[in-house]
Amino acid sequence: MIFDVGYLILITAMLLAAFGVIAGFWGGKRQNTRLIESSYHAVYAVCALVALAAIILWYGLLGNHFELLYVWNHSERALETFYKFTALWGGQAGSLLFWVLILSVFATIVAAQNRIGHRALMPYVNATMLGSGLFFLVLLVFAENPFARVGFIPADGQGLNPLLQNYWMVIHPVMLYLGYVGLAVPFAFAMAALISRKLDNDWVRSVRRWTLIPWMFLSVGIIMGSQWAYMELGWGGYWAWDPVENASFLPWLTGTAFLHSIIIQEQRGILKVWNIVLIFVTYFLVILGTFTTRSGIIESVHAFARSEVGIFFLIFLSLVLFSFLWLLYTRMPLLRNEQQIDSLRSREAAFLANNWLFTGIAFATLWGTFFPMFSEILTGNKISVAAPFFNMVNGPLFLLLVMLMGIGPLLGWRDTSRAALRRQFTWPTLFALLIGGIALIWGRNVFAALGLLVSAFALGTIVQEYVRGLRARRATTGEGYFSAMGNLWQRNGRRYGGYLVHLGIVCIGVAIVGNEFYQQTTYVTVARGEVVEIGGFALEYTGLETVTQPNRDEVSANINIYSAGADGTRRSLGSVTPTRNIYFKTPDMPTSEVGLRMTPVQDVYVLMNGWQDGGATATFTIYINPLTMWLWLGGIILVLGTVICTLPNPAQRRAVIVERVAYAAGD
Amino acid sequence: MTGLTFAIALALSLLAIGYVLRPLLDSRPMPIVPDDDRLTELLARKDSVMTAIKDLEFDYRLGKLTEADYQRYDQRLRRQAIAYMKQIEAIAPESTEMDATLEAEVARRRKTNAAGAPRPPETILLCPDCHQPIDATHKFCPHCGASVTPDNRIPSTDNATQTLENRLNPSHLSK
Repeated sequence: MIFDVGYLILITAMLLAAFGVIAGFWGGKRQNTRLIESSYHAVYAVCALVALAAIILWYGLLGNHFELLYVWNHSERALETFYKFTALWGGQAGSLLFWVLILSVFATIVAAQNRIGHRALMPYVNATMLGSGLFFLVLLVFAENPFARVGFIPADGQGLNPLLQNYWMVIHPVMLYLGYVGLAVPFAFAMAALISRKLDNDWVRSVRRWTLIPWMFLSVGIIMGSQWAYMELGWGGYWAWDPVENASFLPWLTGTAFLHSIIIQEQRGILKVWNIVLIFVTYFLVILGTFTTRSGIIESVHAFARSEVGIFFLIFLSLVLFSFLWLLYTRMPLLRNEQQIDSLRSREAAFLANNWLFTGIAFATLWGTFFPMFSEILTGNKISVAAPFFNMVNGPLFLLLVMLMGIGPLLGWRDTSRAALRRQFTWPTLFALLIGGIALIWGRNVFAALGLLVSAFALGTIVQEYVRGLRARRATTGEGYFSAMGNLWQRNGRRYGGYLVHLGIVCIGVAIVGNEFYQQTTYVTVARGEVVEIGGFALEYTGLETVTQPNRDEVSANINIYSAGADGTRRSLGSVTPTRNIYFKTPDMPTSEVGLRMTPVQDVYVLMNGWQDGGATATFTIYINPLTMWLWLGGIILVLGTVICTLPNPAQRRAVIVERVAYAAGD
Repeated sequence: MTGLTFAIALALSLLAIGYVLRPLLDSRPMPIVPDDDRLTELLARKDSVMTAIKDLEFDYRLGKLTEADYQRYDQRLRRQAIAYMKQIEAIAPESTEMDATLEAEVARRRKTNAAGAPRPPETILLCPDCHQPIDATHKFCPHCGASVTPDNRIPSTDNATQTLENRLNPSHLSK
């Protein structure tokens, strides 16, 4: 009974979203405050109704109501309560409901934050946010009803996909959704600016935090997905340029470009067309990414969700694209640059190059991802595009990007004199050449040395900026290092938090170089007590152990790890337990837990492929992965840097207060 | 679906629909929406230019700009800021007074002299060398580098001498 209520309130939410779209657009166009107010109410009401629907579905999952098709397909009695809760986003319908839930909450926050400000924009912002929500509600009502019935009451469910019964695969979709959906907010402001013709910097200033924070979540989601791939898929890597991985990466690329480019518009009033186009493309890629994942249109290891939603997505994407192109064409005269780029030796020029590089990488990735689909449609033959294409094309572009990450902060606004260039570039360049030289001599790989050289250059820039910034503050105020650092972060958070984010990217770049160019691997069958040596380590297999859980058997191998000295001495470094999980409901879909010993220098990574004679012998794939831990550390640094970027600046707070009071007094 | 189910769903839906339509049914006169956001835009542009001035000063201190370039761009930005402030004063005179009042009140609440007592809101401290506004905690002038002590800095109590250019300089507020 309650599940019928859930479906009916989704219908109501859909109708109210449609009304809110009309009220927002019409109210904004006619400056009708009653319609505008009604659009705000529509945002809040849709949020409440969608939240109620989600709660009802959670009730079905947690209460083992297998008469619901969704619960039957994605849960079972023996499933841990935690995974029953997270099964909400384990399948098609539930994840669409989760998408629109997050969107509704964000729309509510934006509406509440802007009850007074941005009067010209907010009606259209409400309408655009409700329009996005309307699309997903139409999907839920007409194509993927989360409250559809089985027709009888099964005794038990079919269980959650074993690949999803993992901590990372619980958090990873949440982070991605927070990122994806959050990027709909700056898009809504951009569309509002286009529709209302208020294309000054107001919309750009409004969306800085609403771009930065979703971008952070998207970054974390991508890194968590990589960590899941590293820990679970067992091929020693973390990124395979899989179509669904690319689907999350594409909006990250254009979103990062947008994040940097809006700084220029705020400062100099240029790159307006770039910014409008970048945020539209980001939103388009978010929807395209959701479409790619949900429709099954491109085969991948993630394609566990196939449905009838493809045509809905295509129609929505087409509508959004043509609407945007029409708006852009008609508003182009309002998007002229207020100033120009004075010199190539300027930060503005560096940001423009940044835009081109990110766009280039996004285009190459998009091409490679969808080429198999187009080749199949046009020729009937599916030509697959794998990692080598992406590495070959994107690798050099990323190299240039990291170098630009080092160059940009060293340049001044408008122009940088030769003397200033010499002063700024000397130490980072020397440091980069030193590291590159050592890498070349030690590693004997030109590409790896080049990667480490540019990473060192970017690192040198960051360190130099911090040292000089601290010195400048201490020279003026006489404060200590810790106080100076704290004040740098609080008063120049955007700059110095941004440098920390760059540091996180440098760490990730170093990890990629280590894993790509210096990885060692072996595939071996060993008997109990036998030792295998690789990369300066000795690994001893001592036997198997089986533990039975409510819904699976866990078969673990014990591997003792020793350092293998040249003189034959061995020192114990602990042990790892690679595991195979065999699920009772799906014995043909076992999952792996990698045995991992992680250090900043290198990882010892052991995957159990199988065993024979009850564990008398077992087969393993062993990897030695240098520097891979820096990928995860880089992610943590990236988050810290983003938090610092979003810290409120006391001067800005004061300016906002003055602006609001003056606005009220002026009216 | 039972009758009770339908009734519950209908009740929830009507509640939501009523909430959304309530503003349309309001019989009070519709408030007039001013269609001019010019003041907000000017305030925001002024704020952006002030930020750009601070960033430029910081870049100069970090050695990214020569003295000549710094002076050239600094003057250009200050002229822009003055132009915006004049336009703001023309539209809403209260806002500029409010800005100054707020800044003075913030400065007053900070500990600003050696004795620890808050200084009067209308007092601004000036560098003994270049006469640019400075903060009470500065030991060296951020503009000319001159040494600053509690004895040699100049308090300015005359608001009439506080030119638009001096008011542009936010450094007297920064710690």
